[in-house]
Amino acid sequence: MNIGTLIKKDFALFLKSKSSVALTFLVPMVITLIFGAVFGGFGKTKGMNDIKILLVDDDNSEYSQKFHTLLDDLEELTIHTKYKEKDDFVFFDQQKMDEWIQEGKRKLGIYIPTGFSAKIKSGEKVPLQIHFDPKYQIEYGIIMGLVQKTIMNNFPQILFNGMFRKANQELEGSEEKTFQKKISELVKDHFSNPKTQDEIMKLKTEEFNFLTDPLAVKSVKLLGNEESDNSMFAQYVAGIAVLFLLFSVTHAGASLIEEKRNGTIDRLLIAPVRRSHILISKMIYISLLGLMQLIVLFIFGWLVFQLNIFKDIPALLTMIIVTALACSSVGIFIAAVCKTIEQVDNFSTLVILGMSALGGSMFPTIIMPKYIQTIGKFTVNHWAMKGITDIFWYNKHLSDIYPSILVLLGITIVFSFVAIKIFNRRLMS
Amino acid sequence: MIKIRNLSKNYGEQTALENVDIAIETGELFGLLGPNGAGKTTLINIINTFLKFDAGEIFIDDQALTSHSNKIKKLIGIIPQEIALYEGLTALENLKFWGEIYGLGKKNLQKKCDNILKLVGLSERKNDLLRNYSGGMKRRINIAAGLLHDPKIILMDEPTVGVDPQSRNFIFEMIEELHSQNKTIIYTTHYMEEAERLCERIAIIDHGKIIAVGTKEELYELLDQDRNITVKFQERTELSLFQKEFSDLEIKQLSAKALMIFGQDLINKLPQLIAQAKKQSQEIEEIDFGKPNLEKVFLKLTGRELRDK
Repeated sequence: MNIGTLIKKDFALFLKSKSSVALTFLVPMVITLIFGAVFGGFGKTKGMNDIKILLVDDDNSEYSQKFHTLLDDLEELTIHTKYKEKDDFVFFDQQKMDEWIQEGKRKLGIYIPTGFSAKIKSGEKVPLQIHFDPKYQIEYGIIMGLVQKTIMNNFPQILFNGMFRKANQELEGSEEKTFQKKISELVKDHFSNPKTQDEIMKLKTEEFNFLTDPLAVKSVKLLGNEESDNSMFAQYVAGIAVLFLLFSVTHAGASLIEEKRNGTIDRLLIAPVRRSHILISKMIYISLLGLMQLIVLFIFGWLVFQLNIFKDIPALLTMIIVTALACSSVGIFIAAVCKTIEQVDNFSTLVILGMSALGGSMFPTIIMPKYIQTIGKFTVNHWAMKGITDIFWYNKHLSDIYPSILVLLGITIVFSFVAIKIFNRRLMS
Repeated sequence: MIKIRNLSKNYGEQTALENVDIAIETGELFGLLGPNGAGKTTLINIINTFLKFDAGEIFIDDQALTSHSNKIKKLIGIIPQEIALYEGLTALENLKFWGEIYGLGKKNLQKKCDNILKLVGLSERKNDLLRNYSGGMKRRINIAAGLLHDPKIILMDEPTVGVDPQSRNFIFEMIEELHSQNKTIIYTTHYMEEAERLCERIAIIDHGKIIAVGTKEELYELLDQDRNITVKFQERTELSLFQKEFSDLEIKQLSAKALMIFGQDLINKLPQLIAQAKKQSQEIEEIDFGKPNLEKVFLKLTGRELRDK
């Protein structure tokens, strides 16, 4: 039967191509491994990487020190209270802590104001401040949860003191039985019929506040306040743009293989055209394509998400250019090492998704194990995102972002050189 | 116009061309006839500078190919075996692209494109995407792209492969028109009918060697015209059934059911041949004393058929 014969023939061809077999099965495996490593970690390095935070204790009381110790004991956190100045270690104050966060040295800090201990004792809301760079919303959420858990688990008196304070207000001049009944009804109702967070928020009555919101945590955003609505978008532009840029430039690079296959490259080689011009023109085309893609994406961000792309135009343009060049060189390299369009498809999926996962295009690097973060530094995504977010979030200028620019230019030179060598050998010979 | 002396080319240990010597005059329509893998495309690719050669010399318009490649490239129009065009572009866009590559100015380009589209009979469909063309139409544009810059020398590498009869005739007429314009044309083919119809002189090439060169009449003389016949049988036949009885004749297998016999006094030996066939239970279908052709010449020279069957 013809259909059976054709299918058999296709399987025979597929199995004869070791690279196709490897790429077809290896790609999904490697991607699975990367995702597994990112979320679960290998071996003993399970769980999330610790978050380094600053802590300023202006209360300096028994309770505040206990709170500090309890936070320090958490595996998820590494607390720093001092910094080095000349030869001495000096305690952070609130101003210095904010400076560090604004400069990107740390993402978050906890400020314990004077009166922390007194409020615990009196049953009033406990004041705390979390200072953070709004770029790190996920880390902020994690810290908030850890702070609440630590307080509620280790300072139960907050609840009781709050309860008695509330009772005193409620029972002014009443009998003890009425007090007990009222309190027991409140507690019974609260714990028998647990309410969702939204329901609790809607209630907002004095009755429940002392049970549900014993903390008065003040969140202090230190950067990008005016862009709070599009804070995540700035990261998406940098991360996702690089991911898709890599796909599009790789596809464009693969057109060289297609042109070799359909004979147009050979026809060009016969024509009065310099061999080097064929490759150079292709690289320029791919780089321009990438450049246009990034520019359009940033303009889209400006139009739709009010992303302030005019913050530092020379710096942003430079980053866009070097990112486009670096991605193009990686794209053309991928196309160069592959022999067929099918190989490009498979190999580019592996490399691009892998680099994007490791480099932070898909998820914040903070949730990855430390060694994954280190590996991520060897990706285009990491340096492109770093440079662009430096401009948007840290108000850095061209002179400040030179490490990212230099690394991306280095990537461009190395990958372009290797790609040209391979293409020259394979396509032009 | 084109002088090739002692040209050799190897792919590793495999010899692709060996001591090729050809001289082609200006305005000549020169055929390269040989089976697949004989070295025709290799020779074309060396003349068009795509491949380097290992030994020998090539002169085009008295310029050595190695030292004047870029200048020579503009003299040559190449019609590749494959349709080497961009299917995502229209015919006109393709022609403009190749015209620009060959250095045609914008003013001249549109006019040249219009003329060449008229020549290949596709003016009406010049704005259609190439992917919507039939195979024959694509081939005509493929030829047009090679002729756009008005080259003195045209290299045509099997331009009728996979072409319908209508487009084939169209291509033949176009080649004859170009020939009448005094273009020097090298035409490779493994179809002897094409070489016989089109070419003034033909070089027969096999295993990288030129085994005969001349006009078709000169090549036919190699057959010893009056002294060959073709015998076709109704069933499969074998050389061995006749070789022993007719050791004074040269017998070659033309096909599974046909033998070609060379020798003197063949007419008188026919009764004996028919008797032997009968003895071997081989029923003769046809005895051909017909005209000589290049297929027979190739068979005579190589002992093999020109085309694989």
